This record gives sequence, structure tokens and C-alpha cells, in this order.
Amino acid sequence: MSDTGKIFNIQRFSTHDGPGIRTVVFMTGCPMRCRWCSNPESQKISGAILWDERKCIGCGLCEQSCGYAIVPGMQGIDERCIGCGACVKACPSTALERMGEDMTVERVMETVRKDKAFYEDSGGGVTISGGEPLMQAEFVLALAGEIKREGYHLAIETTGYADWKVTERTLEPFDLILYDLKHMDTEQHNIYTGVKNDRILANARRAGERGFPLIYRVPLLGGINADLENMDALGEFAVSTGVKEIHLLPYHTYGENKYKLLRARYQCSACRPSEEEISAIRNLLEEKGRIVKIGG
Amino acid sequence: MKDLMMQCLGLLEDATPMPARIQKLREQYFAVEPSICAERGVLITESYKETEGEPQILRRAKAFDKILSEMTIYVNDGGLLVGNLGSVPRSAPIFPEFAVDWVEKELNGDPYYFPDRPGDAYQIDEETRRILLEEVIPYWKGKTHEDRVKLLLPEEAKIACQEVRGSDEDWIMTGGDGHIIADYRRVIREGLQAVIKQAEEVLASLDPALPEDIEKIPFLKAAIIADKAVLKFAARYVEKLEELKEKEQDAARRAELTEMIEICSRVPAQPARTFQEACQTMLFVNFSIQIESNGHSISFGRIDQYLYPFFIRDIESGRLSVEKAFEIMCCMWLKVNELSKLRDWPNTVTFVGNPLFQNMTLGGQTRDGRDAVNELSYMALACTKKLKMIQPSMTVRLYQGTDRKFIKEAVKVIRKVGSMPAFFNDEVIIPSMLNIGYTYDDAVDYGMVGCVEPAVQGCGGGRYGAGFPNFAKWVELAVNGGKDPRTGITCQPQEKDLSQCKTFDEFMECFRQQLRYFQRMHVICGNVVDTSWGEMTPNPFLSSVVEDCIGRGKEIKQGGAKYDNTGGQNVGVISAANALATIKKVVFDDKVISAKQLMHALNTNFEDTETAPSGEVIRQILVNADSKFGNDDDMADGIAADIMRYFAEEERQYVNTRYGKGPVGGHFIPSTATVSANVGNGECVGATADGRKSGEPITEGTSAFRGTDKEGPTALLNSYAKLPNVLMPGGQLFNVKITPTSVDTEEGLDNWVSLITTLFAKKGMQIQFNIVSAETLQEAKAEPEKYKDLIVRVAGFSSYFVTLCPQVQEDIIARTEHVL
Repeated sequence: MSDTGKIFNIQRFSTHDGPGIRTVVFMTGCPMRCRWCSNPESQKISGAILWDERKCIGCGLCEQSCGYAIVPGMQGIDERCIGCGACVKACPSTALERMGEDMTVERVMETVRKDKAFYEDSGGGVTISGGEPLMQAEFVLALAGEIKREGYHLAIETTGYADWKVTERTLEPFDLILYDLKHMDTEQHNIYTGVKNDRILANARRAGERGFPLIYRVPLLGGINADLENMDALGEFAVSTGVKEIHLLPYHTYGENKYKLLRARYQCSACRPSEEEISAIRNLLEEKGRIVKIGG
Repeated sequence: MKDLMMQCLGLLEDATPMPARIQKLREQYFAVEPSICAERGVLITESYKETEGEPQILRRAKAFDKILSEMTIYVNDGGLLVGNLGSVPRSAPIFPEFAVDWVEKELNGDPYYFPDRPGDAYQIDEETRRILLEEVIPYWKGKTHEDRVKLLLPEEAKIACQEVRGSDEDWIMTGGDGHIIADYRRVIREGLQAVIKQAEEVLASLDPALPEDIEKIPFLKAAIIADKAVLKFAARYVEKLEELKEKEQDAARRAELTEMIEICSRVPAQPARTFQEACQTMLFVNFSIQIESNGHSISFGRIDQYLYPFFIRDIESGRLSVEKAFEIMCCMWLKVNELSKLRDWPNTVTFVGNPLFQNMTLGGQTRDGRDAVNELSYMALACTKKLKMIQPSMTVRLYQGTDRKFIKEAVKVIRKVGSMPAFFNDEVIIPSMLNIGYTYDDAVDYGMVGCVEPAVQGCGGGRYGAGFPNFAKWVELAVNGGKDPRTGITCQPQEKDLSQCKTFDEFMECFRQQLRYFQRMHVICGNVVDTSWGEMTPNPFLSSVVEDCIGRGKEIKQGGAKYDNTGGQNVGVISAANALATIKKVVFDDKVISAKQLMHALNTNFEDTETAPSGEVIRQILVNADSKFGNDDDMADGIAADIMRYFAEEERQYVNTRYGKGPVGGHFIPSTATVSANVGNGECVGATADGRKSGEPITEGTSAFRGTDKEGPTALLNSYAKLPNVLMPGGQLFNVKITPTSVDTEEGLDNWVSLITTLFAKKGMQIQFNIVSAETLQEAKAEPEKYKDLIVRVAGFSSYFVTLCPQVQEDIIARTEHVL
């Protein structure tokens, strides 16, 4: 177990990642590159530097603080950048922000504890998300242990894309596993996420067999995975793995601005399915005896 | 009674339509613009000319009698309850006895003609304008409350408050008081005849050989005249209703008018027998107080408790249906909305949106600790939900035993209306009242007055609406060694300015020195105003319906009430805390910039580009320092708690004009009921060390400064819960803005309820919400015609957004919106 993990955000009062009022711990690092990813700053395990042009007052303090005199807007992109974060510290206006900070379990727990009373009243707790938390499995295990020891409800959001042994061991302590399924067709999965789904589905199956408390979470991406054929396959998979509940998350573009901050291109061609399409999907899955929720 | 509860809950359903009658009355309301009515001004002037030389209290009673006997009265087409303030709906009467100089100025367009105001415009016709300028105003020159205050006010207090503006005391110098819950229960149960009889008995028992009894005689005579005037007022409605009945063709309406005639023939003289009679009694009492006193926040108290016996008896006997009861209640809401109060322009900015703050209180606990929520509580929620109008202000009391279902229905009302009701925590408010001498029985039965001011029902004379002590201004003065950069005036000199302080503690002592000085000035102003009100504008009718004025033979301001405290409304407390915490962090702890650099940046409003770092860089450092209340940061929150506690403890040494004259209390008690005074009072505060620019609004209540609460609602609530709320018996205002889409779902609602109940378990005192998106507000600003009934919470009250002046609109848009 590792006592220190790389975390890019701890969000208090999250209400869409498990029941009740929750604190979500976002870990850096993800093996997948989903085109619609709404947390692109989390993809590299080393984190990222965001630059918000609107906040930049042009004071030049970042450039002065940088050993390579990298100019505003080039931090994290310029190949000389070593990600030391001096520019972020120098920036008075928070135009520069570093995503991905080493934190100890205790440091995370300090924040987690602050909302104890809110979890208790609302039936909430803590969710570990990412990125893909399984990439920092050792830290996740250490953190999960502490969270359980202090008696909070514990959830994880994962793609399940890891070695089964690691996956099994890491997921064991969780009260709820929000398991992401992006596409049932492995080739399509590969096109849109950069990896095939074989391992994901195999792990989902095993997790089901192990009796883990799973809910499938599926982003609904018009033009990519929101067709009835794929949804039917998803439903059948849920039936066969004994997973009763499915959460559908209709596509949104809230993450788009982050690409701008990363100075990267947003390349997702998906659209938000219409209300009619969403309810057709809901009906299809409900007919298979699944509990369907729109949104987390 | 399960069915009855189901029926009342049904009223809250979205599918339940607004009754046709109520729909029509509501349309009538929105079809007219607020206007100015000269009648009261003319009548009181005539009366005062006739009574010169008589004791002031008798002159007041006789003028009151003349007004109620001769003013225009009307009955709304289709309305079930009567009562009015001006000659047409939404018209505001004139109260020349309080002040006329501003009326004259504004009638002449300084700073705006009434119809051209950028917020709260009033229509006025040429004849009304002429009457006021020629027949009313000239008589009152030099004879008003304001003139008296000017004579009494020490020069030092004038400079401190009106020039340096360390405490804004203006509104109480030009207007009346209010801020009270009269003894509606007594009038409903016993009738005004019983009050008159008691006054006559006390009068008969006096011994005129005793000097103190001689003083009581004019008051008791005045009370009798005033109470009889209210009975005449009711009798005039009987006549009016009979005229209408004669002409009425519709049989159903004729029957209603017949019943209304019967009701107005009986109440408020006699005890009410039915629900409708009880409601009508409340309006007669409330409107008469409004006409007499020029106050606001004339509140109703726990209507779901004292109306309940009438409601349940009528329902059980079959003489009243739930539908009819709902219509009667809605009519009461509509009537309350019809009232309007004209304020001078600067105070319109302070009280923008034309609020009258007639608060109604629901829920809470009974004296024996049971959940007080009943069917009527739900019905009252339904009235507010369906009508979507700004009055009455609505308070929901919660205690540890409150049914969660009630809280959930209440938040659904907020979701619909946008801002009402507000929630109050018995577990903090009751101890805060016990702490200043209220008995348990009275404290547990508290109702809300105005915005957030807890008050006993029917037995408290106190005043909550004193001035606005401006904490942010004091930090500015402390930084500059006591000298006000805006005026160059030094009210309270210090030995050191910020740059000469070696430690943060030394600087805090400078701040406390300013606090103590201006607190004293605030008390001086408050007591001068009270002295003048007592002499110039005593209220015999109001006093007759507040325990124990008749028994003691004393008007309220002479010490007639059972309890009496005076409270100011602290403004900019959190701005001050943010500035202090930022100075601590940036200058003393982290030493990022020096005190001299900071002072230069503040005094140049961050505009000096020549310094290194530049003014703007310094501002960014200040803005982004982790030193702001509302983020669950113990240092910043601790300073906020510290200055609040210090002010509260210091304030208790001061007494008001009723101290030692009979009432329990007689002290000054703090609150943070800032209304929109944070905007006007921000205008006179220069740049502050939290990075706020000169002239920008400061904080309202105990809410975070806009945009600085970055850690989400739980962090914000934790910060607020750390404040010494129990030391704020005057009430704690705490505003949170929520994105509407957050509470679309059942889970969203449940989490919202959890936020409230968790905050209250942590001893938060109050919480209220704004649930209108910034986009909607922007649209409403651009196209006001389309958003006439869009309601927002300004501070402790709600207003129609489009009636607000632009700077207040901007302030509301800029507040941080929390996604649930």
C-alpha cells in the first residue's frame, strides 16, 4: 500500500456519484483516451497545468519564475517544461493551475472528515474517481481502508481496465462500484477510447460473480453508443452478469472548456440524444428488468 | 383527520390549479403600478391644525381617527377580505409627520421624479403632486420627526454616521418603526371592545393626585380613541359592502357580500367566531398599525398556530371547506401584497423592491415540545407556492422534531417561487432569546419579524430596525490610522496605522477601537431616534394591542411593553472579516507584500501600474489568498466569529430609552439583517484588503462575499455554523444561491433538505435560498416586461427582480451559484 497518491481534485458536496451528499476524490491517470472525456486534465498520471486566458492579467510573473522563461500559455506544452509548477506558484491571478498534487491519505481524510455530518444526514459518503483509480491501486486501497475505518459509505467509479487481480483486490472494500461501460462492441470501443473492451467486460463479469455491489454507468453518446442495438447488448450483458441498476449519463459538453485550458483540441463528434431517444433506451432496459436512472 | 391533511397536501401539488377567483385577483394586482396617494397626508395635516397645543399622543389618536373615518376605502372585485392603505391598490400613503424635505425634493425631481426612479418607481398624478406641495408639505416644515432628530443629534454622531458613514442611521430618521408582532391572538379571541374596556378600567382606577398617573391619562384616552377609530373603520366597510350588495346581480357574490357584511359588523369589535372572521380581524389590526405608524415589518407571527382552532372548528362543523379556507388565505396574502410604502431614494436603495416584510411564521414546536406543524402550515405554504408573490415574507421554524416531509414541501415551494420560505432554527434562536431574559414560554412561541428578527408575539415593544453599523468601513479606517480616505475626517484617532503595527494582534486592536467608537455612535443615533419617535410620533393604537401597555398606562416608547430591546443590523461583517484575514495572511504571516504596499494599493484603488508589484497584481494576490469566509477555513472563519462576538458582547453595555421603565431587557442587541444596505453602504467604503474595489457592494448578512465561496455549499455552511449565532438574538441572515437544475430530482430535493437539517444540527441559526439562474436574471434584466413576477431574495426578504435598481440587480447576479 502506498500512503501518497496523485490527486487532481477533491470535490465536496458531490451528489451525482453515489447516494446522498458525497466527497469525491479524483485521482490522476487513465489508460483510456475517451474522446468525450470531461476530465482530460486527469489523463496523464503526472497531472497537467491549466492556463485560463480570461484570468491572465499579463503580469509576466510566470515567465520570470520559470527556469526556461516559458511564456504564458505555453506551460505544460512547451517541450522544455518539466512540470515543476513554479509558474503556478508565481501566478497571482490563478490563471495557471496545477492539476495533480501528491497527497497523503491523512491529507485527503482531513477534507473528507469536514463533511461527516452531511454524509450522515443524507446517507452519503466518499467516492473515489478519476482518471482511473485502479492506476493508483495501492493508494486507493490505503485510502479506502481509512475511509471504512472511520465509518463512511464508500464508492468507486472505475472503468475496470486493469489486471483482474489488482481489480479484485482494490474493489473488495467498496460499498458501491460505479462501473463504466462505454461500448459493447470491442472495435468501436477501441476507436473511441483507444482500448478494446475485452478486459473491461471480463472483469465486469468476474466482479459480478464475486458478488460486488455493481451499478453500470453508461455515457449516452448520440452517434457513438446510444443506438438501440448497442443498448440491447448492454441490457443483455447486465442481465447475464446479474447487475440490476444502470445509470445513463446523457452526453454533455461541460468538459469542453477544459480542453481550451489544456490548450488541446476537443475532438468529440457526439451529440446529446433527444428526450425521446433517451426514454426509448430507458424502456428497452426496463423491459429487461433493470432499474434505470438518468444522470448519476 | 387524515383526509384533511391529504386535502391540504393536495393544494401543494403542481396539478392543483389556482382557484379562478385568486387567479383574477392576482391579475388585478399585476395590472396596476404602485402609486402615491395624498389622502393620508391631507387628513393628518387638517387634523394637526385642529389639535395644536394638545398632548401629542391625543393629537396622534385624533389624526388616526380622522384618517380612518375619511380615507377612501374599497373592496376588491371578488375579494373575500377587506382593508386598504391607500385609495387604490398598491398606492402608498404619505406620512408627513416623519419627514417632508425629501418628499418635496423628489416631487421636484431631486434626484429623480417618482415615476422615473431606476428602481421602485411610483406613479403620481399632477393633482396629487400639487396637493402635497401646496397643502401638505408647507405645514410640516420644521415640525417633523426628522427635524427633531436633527436638533437632538450630537454633532459628533452626525459626522460619524452621516459624513464618514461608519454606521448608516438614515432610514430611521425619516421613517417610522414597525418591527413588531401585535397581539393578534388577543384581538381575535377577545375583540377590541375588550381592549377598550380594559383601558377604561385602568383609566378609572388612576389616582390623578399621583404625578405618574397623570402621565397615563392622555395615553389611555388616546388608546380608546384609536381603538374606536378602528371600529369605525370596520363599520365603513359594512356600508361599502352593503352598497356593493345592492348593485350585485350575481347571487353567489351577493351571498359572499352578505357574509362579509356580517363579519365586518362583528370584528374586530367582538371575538371572532369563524376562520374568516379571524383572518379579517388580523387584517384590520395589521392595516390599522400600518396606517398609524409608517413602519414596516409589521408581522403576523405564528398564524398556523393561532388560526388553527378556528380553522379546525369550521372544518369539523362543516361550515368551511378546505377549498374555501384556501381561498380566504390566498385573499389574505393578496391583501398583504397590496400595501405599499414610499421611502426616500437613498433608503429605497437600502430597502429596494418595495418590501414591507409582513412576516408570517410556520412550524416549529409547541410549548410542550411537540411538532407544531399542522394542516394550516401546509395550506399556508400552498398559498405562497401558488401565488408566487413577494409578500408575506415566510418563515419556517425547524426544531429537531420537525417532520422531514414538511421541510421537503417547503423546499419545493422555494423551487417554485425562487426564494421563499426561509428557515430558522429553534435550537439556536430559543437559547439566544433565553440568554437576554425572555421567559421560556414566550421564547418558544417566537415569530419572525421583518427579515430574520426573532420576536415574542404580542408582548415585545422592541425595535429591530435600528441603523446599519458598517464593519467594512471600520477596517478601512483602522488601516489608515482612523482617518477616512474619502472625507479626510478622523473620528477616532489611532496611535498607529497598519504600517506601524508590528503584529496582527496590534492591528486587530486598532480595528476594535474603531468598532467601539462607531458602536457608540450607532447607539447614540438609535436612542435619539427613539426619543424623537416617542415624543413626535407615538402610536396609541399599536400600543393598545401590545401587552402590557394598557395595564401600565404607557405607550410602547415610554416602556409599556413586557419586553423591549433595540437592535442594529450589522452590514459588511464578512467583508471586514475577509479583509482582516487577508491582511493577517498576506502582510503578517506570509509577508507577500508589506503593509505600506498594501495601503498604497488600497488608496489608489489598485490602479497604480508603476509600483512593483502593480496595483492589479496586488489585488489578485489579495483576491486569491486563502483567507475568505465561506470555505471552511478556520483562520478566516475564526476572525469572522471573533469580530461578531466582540461586537455582541460590547453592545450589551448599552441601554435603550425604555431601560428601567418596566420592560424586561432595554438593551441593544445585534443582528445581521442587512436588507440591501450592503450596496449603498459599499459605495462609501474604499478599496478593501480582500481585493474588493472602491465603491463595490460589501457583504450582506453573514453571507460570503460574492464569488469567494469556492469550496461548495457544505464548506460554506460549515463556515457559517462556526459563527457565534447564539449571541445574535437580533437574527442572523445567511443567503445561499443554488442553481435551479440542481434540484430537479427527488434526490436533489433530499440533499437540499439534508443541507438544511445538517446545518441546523451544527447550530446554524438561519438559512435562505435564491434559486434563479444567473442566465434567467440576465434575461430579466434585458427584458423586464417578460419577467414581471420573477422573484429573488435580496437579503432577508424577497422582491420582484425587475423592480430592483440596477446595482442591486448586479449584486444578486454576481453572488456565487452553488450546484447541488
